[in-house]
Amino acid sequence: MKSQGGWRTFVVLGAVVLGAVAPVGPATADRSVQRGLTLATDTAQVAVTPAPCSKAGFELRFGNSGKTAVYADAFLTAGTPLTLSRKLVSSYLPPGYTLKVPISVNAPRGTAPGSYSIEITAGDQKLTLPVQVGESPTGTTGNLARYVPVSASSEHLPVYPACGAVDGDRDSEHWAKTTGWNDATRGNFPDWLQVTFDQPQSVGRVDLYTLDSKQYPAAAYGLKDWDVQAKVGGSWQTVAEVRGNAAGLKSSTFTPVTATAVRILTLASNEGLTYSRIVELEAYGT
Amino acid sequence: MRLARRRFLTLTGAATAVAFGTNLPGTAVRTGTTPSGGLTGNPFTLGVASGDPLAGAVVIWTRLAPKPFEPLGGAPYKPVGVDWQVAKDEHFRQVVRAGRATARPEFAHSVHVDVQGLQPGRHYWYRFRVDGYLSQTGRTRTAPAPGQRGGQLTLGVSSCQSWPDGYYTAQGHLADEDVDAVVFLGDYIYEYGIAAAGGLRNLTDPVPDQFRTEADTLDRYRLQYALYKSDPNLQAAHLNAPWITTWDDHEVQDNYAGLTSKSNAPVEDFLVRRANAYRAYWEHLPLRGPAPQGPDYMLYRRFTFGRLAELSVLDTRQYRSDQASGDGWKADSDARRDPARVLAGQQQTQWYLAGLQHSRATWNVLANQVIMSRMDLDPTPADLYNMDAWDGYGAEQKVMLDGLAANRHRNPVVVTGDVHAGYAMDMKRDFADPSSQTYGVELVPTSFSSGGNGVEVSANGTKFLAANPHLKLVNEKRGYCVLRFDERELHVDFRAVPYIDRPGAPVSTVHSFVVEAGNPGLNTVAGEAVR
Repeated sequence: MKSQGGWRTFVVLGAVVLGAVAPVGPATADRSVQRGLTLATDTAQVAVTPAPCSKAGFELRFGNSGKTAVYADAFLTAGTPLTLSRKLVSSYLPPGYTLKVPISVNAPRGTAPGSYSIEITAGDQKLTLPVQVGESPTGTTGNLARYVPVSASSEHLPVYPACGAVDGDRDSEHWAKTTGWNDATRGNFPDWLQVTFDQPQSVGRVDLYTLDSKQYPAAAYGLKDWDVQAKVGGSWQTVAEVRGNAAGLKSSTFTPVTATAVRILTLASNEGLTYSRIVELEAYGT
Repeated sequence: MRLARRRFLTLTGAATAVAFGTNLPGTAVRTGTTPSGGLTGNPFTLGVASGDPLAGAVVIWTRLAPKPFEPLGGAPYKPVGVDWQVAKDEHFRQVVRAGRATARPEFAHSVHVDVQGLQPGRHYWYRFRVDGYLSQTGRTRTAPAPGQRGGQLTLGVSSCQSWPDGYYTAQGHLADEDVDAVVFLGDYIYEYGIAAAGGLRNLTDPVPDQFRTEADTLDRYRLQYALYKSDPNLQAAHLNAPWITTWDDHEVQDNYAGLTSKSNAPVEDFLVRRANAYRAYWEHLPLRGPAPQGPDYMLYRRFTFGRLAELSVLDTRQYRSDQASGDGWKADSDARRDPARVLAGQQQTQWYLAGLQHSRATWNVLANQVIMSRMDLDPTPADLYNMDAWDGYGAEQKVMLDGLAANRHRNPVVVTGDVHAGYAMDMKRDFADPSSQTYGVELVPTSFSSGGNGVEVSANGTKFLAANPHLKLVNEKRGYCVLRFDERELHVDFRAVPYIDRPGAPVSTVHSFVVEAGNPGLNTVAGEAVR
């Protein structure tokens, strides 16, 4: 909301009563640059594979070598196109204390391999952390969902991240060990799992591998009902509906659409009102 | 506390008035007398608030956050001057106080002005302006004069507003109630990471990535408050009345106890987290200064509403001993009754009981976090107590309950949060004996949102009813209580909404009670069934 005339009215009337006002806050002037802060990391260099689910990062060690406690801010910036999980770390730092904060570093697919850096500043301190970006992984299978950003309505962390559903591993025997997405809202449907393409892609087939291991067969624990949705021209459309599935793999084919993202909207599990479980999601042109 | 504030006044002087006058209606020109704050958009995205009303003063609050989910809320890394006004009317024709405050990055660009010299027992309207942006107009109300007899006091009371547990429909309805103040009993935020779909809100527009991790550092707690306070219904509830707030555990971490974290983290680390959480709490609520400096902050305090009512606000997290027997629901034990273990702590307990004894008010309300009366979950002759509630700290519970009983004539009314359920209880000399004397009432006004849609009475609720004859009402939908006090009686409405997993639910009164002054105990309102 922009200013209206009320403040003007108040000046014209001159009805201001001064005094008896106690502003609240510290007795500090505009603070000068803080001294005594320390910056360090647990590694001399970060190696990043340019893919959304690659796990790379470092631990920021943000300390106070001074004799008095401070509240301090550390600002983090990364060379384009790298992204950081946090661009600011603010904390109370008692004398002699060092705060340890994990920071993840990502590079989008297609980032040119080579040397990059992260700049960290706090008070009068500055730290440069080198980042080495490797080659982008390339898929040979035509699976459009591999190596693109994935997100989910919720994730049952840390064991069942959305990344586990686009890691190239379709094997349900690896469930709960290294692969698969499980939502975090037990008993609530729908949930969703989404992949977002770097550029619009023609999509005509979506393969969904739901949980189907010896211990947890699909007919008892896998997804039963879901919609396959594609984002076309900025809006979601349902391109396939799956109902009554009891198999580990269900392939949905449809008239190809040019989509910027594909989403599985889960509606029901064979286990009843519990969870959505996807071991692998794959998307193809045809 | 008082000393620090006086020192500040000495150093900086009182706020000075600022002349405005070049802004025409509908324009947003930066005036010559208002140096540019360097803001890049409307900074009032988190609303305005007021709180901690005294007879002649109230705190008004806002925070500059043009991009509330970005670092620093999108505000520049420098102090920004913010103009404020308090008027006797909503059109600001009679401005009675005005000034300029400084929003500093070390306090998340929050503004807390303790506006003094106001008249007792009346409404005021307030607003802020910076860089040509005008805030929403909030309504507040001062407390009646200390000796004022008679009159009425209306309080809205609730707790526990987990954002991903649903829509803030209840807060929206509370914004429409004519209450003199809102009392909030803790769990204003939850520290947990928030999923893309926003939990039961099931959003199509994903919650940004930076919310996935649990709050631990100051920047992350600030983000959490920014998300919560971006809700228009919560903003509306703040706009309508001053809030008097206390915290429980989730403003820091689930079931923490004093120096002990849930994960038994090293004390050195946990105190840093606690300091970050306490600071963020102060920054985002209309509390008096000075701000917390480090891991300690005195939040317990008392408010007087003439001779009609006193409200004491407890902090039962900061000073408590670790939960007995590993926390959770446990049978009676020596550990539970160990006199060395405290909940409020001796200093706070004595402060409270001394105040109660010296109170001249008809009604004495205690804003409390966890259930104070006995609450047994086992309907058989065996017992099962919540180690996180007063039952888990039996020795200090006895001191408090004995103190309340000794002041039965002062009409104790305990209001309690934490449990996401509406309960109404008679406080008994012997909870096992329904014929023993009642010396007060404990009202638990359910949660605003935590727990999702809720049910009328859960399986545990049924057990509680069977095991606790002093428990007169269980209703586990979401909502709040409205307490109307006068010299003769307290009238309590339990207000609830049928669902919060989608917006727009209506509110209704699920039950009402009357408590007569001088005759402690719940009386159900004629026409309503009660056990």
